[in-house]
Amino acid sequence: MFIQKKKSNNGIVCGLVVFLTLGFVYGIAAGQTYKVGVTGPMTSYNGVMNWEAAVIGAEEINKAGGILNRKVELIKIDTNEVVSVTDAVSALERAITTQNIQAVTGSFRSEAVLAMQDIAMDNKIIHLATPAAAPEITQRVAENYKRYKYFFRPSPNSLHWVDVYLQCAELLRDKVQKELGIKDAKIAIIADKLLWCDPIVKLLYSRAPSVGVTVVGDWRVSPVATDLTAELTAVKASGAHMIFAPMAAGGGLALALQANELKIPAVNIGLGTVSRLGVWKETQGRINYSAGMAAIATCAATPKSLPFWNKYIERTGDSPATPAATYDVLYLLKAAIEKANSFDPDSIVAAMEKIDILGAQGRLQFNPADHQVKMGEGWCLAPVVQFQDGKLITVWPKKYGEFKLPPWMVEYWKTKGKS
Amino acid sequence: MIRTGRRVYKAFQGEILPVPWRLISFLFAVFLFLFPLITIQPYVLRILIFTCIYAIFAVSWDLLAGYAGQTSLGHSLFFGISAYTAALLNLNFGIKPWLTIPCGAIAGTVGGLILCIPALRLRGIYFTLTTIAFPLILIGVVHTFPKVTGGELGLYTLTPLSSSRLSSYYVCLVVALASILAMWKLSDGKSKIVRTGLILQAIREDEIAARTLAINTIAFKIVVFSVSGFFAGIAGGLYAHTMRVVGTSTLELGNSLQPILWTLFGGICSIHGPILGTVFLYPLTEFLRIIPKFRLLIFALVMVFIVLFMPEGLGVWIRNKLEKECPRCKLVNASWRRHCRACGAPIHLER
Amino acid sequence: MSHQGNDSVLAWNLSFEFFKGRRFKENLGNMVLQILINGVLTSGIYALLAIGFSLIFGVARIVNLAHTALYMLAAYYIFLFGHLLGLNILLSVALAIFLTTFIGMVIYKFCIDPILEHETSIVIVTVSVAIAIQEILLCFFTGDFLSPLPFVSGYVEFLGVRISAQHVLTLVVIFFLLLGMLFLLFRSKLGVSIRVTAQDREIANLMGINVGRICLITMGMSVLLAAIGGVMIAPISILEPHLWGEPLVIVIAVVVLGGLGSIKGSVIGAFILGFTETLVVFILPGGSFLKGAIALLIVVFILWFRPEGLFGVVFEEERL
Repeated sequence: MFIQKKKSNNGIVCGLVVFLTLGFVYGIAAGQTYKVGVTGPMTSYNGVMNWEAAVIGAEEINKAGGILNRKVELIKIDTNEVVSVTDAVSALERAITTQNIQAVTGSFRSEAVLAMQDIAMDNKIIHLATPAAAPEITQRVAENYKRYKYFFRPSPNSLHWVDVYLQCAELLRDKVQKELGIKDAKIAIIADKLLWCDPIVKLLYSRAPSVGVTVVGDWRVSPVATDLTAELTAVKASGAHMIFAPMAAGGGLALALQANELKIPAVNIGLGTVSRLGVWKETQGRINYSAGMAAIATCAATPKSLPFWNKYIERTGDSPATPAATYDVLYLLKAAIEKANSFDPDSIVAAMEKIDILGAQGRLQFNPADHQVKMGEGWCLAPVVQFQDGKLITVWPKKYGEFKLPPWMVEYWKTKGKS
Repeated sequence: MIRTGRRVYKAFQGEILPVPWRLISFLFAVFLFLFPLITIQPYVLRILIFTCIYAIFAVSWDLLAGYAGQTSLGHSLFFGISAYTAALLNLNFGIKPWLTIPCGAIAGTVGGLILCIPALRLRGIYFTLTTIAFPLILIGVVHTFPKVTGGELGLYTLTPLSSSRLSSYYVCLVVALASILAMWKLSDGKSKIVRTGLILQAIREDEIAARTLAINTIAFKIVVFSVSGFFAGIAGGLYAHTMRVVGTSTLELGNSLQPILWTLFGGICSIHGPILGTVFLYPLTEFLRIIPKFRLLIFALVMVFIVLFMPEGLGVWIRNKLEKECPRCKLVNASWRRHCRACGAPIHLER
Repeated sequence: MSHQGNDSVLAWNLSFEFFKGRRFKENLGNMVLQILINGVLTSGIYALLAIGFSLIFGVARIVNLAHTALYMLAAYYIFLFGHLLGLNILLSVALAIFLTTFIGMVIYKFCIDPILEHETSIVIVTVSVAIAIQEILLCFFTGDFLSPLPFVSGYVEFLGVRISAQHVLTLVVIFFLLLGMLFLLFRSKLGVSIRVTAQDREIANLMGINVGRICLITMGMSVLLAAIGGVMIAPISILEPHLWGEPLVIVIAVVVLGGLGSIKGSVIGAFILGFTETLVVFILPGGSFLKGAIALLIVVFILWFRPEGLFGVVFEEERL
């Protein structure tokens, strides 16, 4: 391993030494602002949405006078959480100790949020992570209230998605019977092989019969899988009419694309990956008739929803998806601080538990036991949207729109006769 | 008591003081002990704690690769096994860190023995490429039993190493120094106490020749893998109780590549090399956080640069500038000396 | 039947559904056909990636861990030219292949050539280059998932199994590439030089073969194969800057299984691992995430009995 090159490397060493003695930049003067950190992987749309939605919220609040006469200052914290949880924790701690943030929001990777929660709780920082959806995160609040009380989740958790899926199953069951004459609607599940999907799959199996549908099979794929041809072929062979696909990563997009390409005769409902307007342009419309869940403000759930939707599109060119819940977070903080009339963390916590305001996601109120926001119709909403020829239509709750069966699906089942 | 004190001082005077690189290392260790006098900001201490942990990890890799010639790309196996063991013991049985970490280290040793199996059958590049498989298989196992291992969420709410960040810092520092000292003694070819280092060098240089000298190469390989696994396990256990979350990130390929990059930067086949590499590069990746977009890119480019232009590593390069071996008695001298401090022979023969 | 969420149980139940039905033979035949076709698809792609990797190792003992990163680069080029800039398909393919090969050769010239003797250093340098490529792509394209347009859209129905037309095109290209490689290696003068260099460098030198030039040409071929792989697979895959990691592990598994330096070994290894994966997906759908781990286990197992891989070429000094 030893090369006998006699080049002069002195310059390089000097350069390195200079570079390394530049030292650390510590802190910015605290000033009279209320600092809120926004965490997230800023190189992907998840983090960008966390940030942009928060900026919109902060600008609106500051224009109206700020919180108790202090302006809101947002600190961007790039956690790189997709690649490294250690990075996320370090980034948060750095922001807390060197930039003196008083509240933090953002992040979608539950593993990272669990790690960051401890740091935030150690420092009594109000932590409103969104859209990370693992139920374990709020379970910690219920189990150890004294330590984790500073944490609130202002968006739905993954168990709620089961409810939404089942309600969509009901809608599709009726539609399939009306349009295709099929009485026994079947569901196939394609899910990531990850812990957060296990309870979803289990609950779908046990509760599907109560809605009059049967689950014919579940396929658990590796989270980094991008070719689902084999799984889709198997799903088609199983005779399913709808595919529920709780997949968080690239799998969701792959499913939508490949189901379309192979013209699988089923309606597929994924998660957040397919619920942005931007996806239509990026794939040049190859995901027509794909549905996604957990979008934000796609319908007039509250007077704030559609204005926020339009503002977000105007600002970024894309529609807001789950990470954009940070917009609501800023209003939640404002309401809680004004109610408590103080910036003291314990007072803010007490006030937040009693809050009942309208956000872009719906009516926001927290469970005092585990600090999870109440979910469902009439509360914080995770609407389901479907791409229909270039437009993003809200198909659940059903008062906003209707599912459309892909034409190849209609053709397939009509010519096949009773399956 | 005074006699030992005298002996220690004499050793210090003889072995450390006149040798510039060792003196710098010693002063650096002292500096680390006194560091909290400058600042006790938790973020800075966290960086130093992780530097200590990763330094142990890097040195354990160098033990395997530099001294024993077994380049493994799956070193995260030991780290991950130990972290998960410590975490499981802590969460399920409430065992305290001072016991879970040694248990984790023993698990790391088991991991070392697992890795030993292909090592005895495969050579060179085949071995290196096979080592990639093991941590990934373990990740598959983790995902197969998510109720036990926490799946992708990992195991969380572990007890911290100690009640305050400051005491955790000292604990890590002491453990790191002790581990590194132990590994140094085991691998040093010039040590008169333990002969392992010399034998390892012999095996690395020419295994068949070593065998002809009746050295049981297989036994030594097993020893090296176990020791390397043990100390990497210590690093893993410390990590578990510092991060307080253990996930599959401990077993990923990226985690295996880190000690390799640091060691190559600092100088392979030396103990100070990986330490130097870790001390320079780990805080650097944190420091570069202010330009998050180019952080990893700069890191990668620095790596390419070092390997191409300073392949023996920065540490060894600096050491060669500061120290010189006497051609007659092989004692290490400061390079600015003209005559050896022991035998008086001229050191620089070119002049 | 109470489903406790136990995927394996369900998988077996599903399989039994296939066998219990009245159309028993049809169901079984269907599944076998599906396994066959999907297996060939997966194996073909792995073979394409593995051959380039194996070739450069056999000839020059270079472990190019940036191989899959270059394949990813070519895929991103296709996205850039075909999707973003909207250029003609053939033009974007040609540009992508040319640019990737060029960059690969530049990397070889400046990063690998100076340190040819030190295998471990090459491993580190190539990994760092791969990370650098990842970060540069991250800067330009962000971490979001991208999907370029397929060259041919639609699907083909073959005996009841649906395959996308792009998959078929990829298979055809791989087939002809393999034929071309075989022809080159076994019927041309260049091929003879390459094979001789792979078997014994010193003798090759003695025989008057310019080993340096052969290494250069082989590197070019290896990068070209990676580029073609990236170009063909881009449209059926989701692009994101970290995607080079997983294929790298699989390629290494395939190549080590088949034996470093052996083309035949790489192809056969690719088929073994490709079919293992497909079998796992169909027989054990709940365990489809394990396909990577199972593949690696097989590799480790076979290496225990045959350390140099199935068809490996071992140099004298590497023998135990």
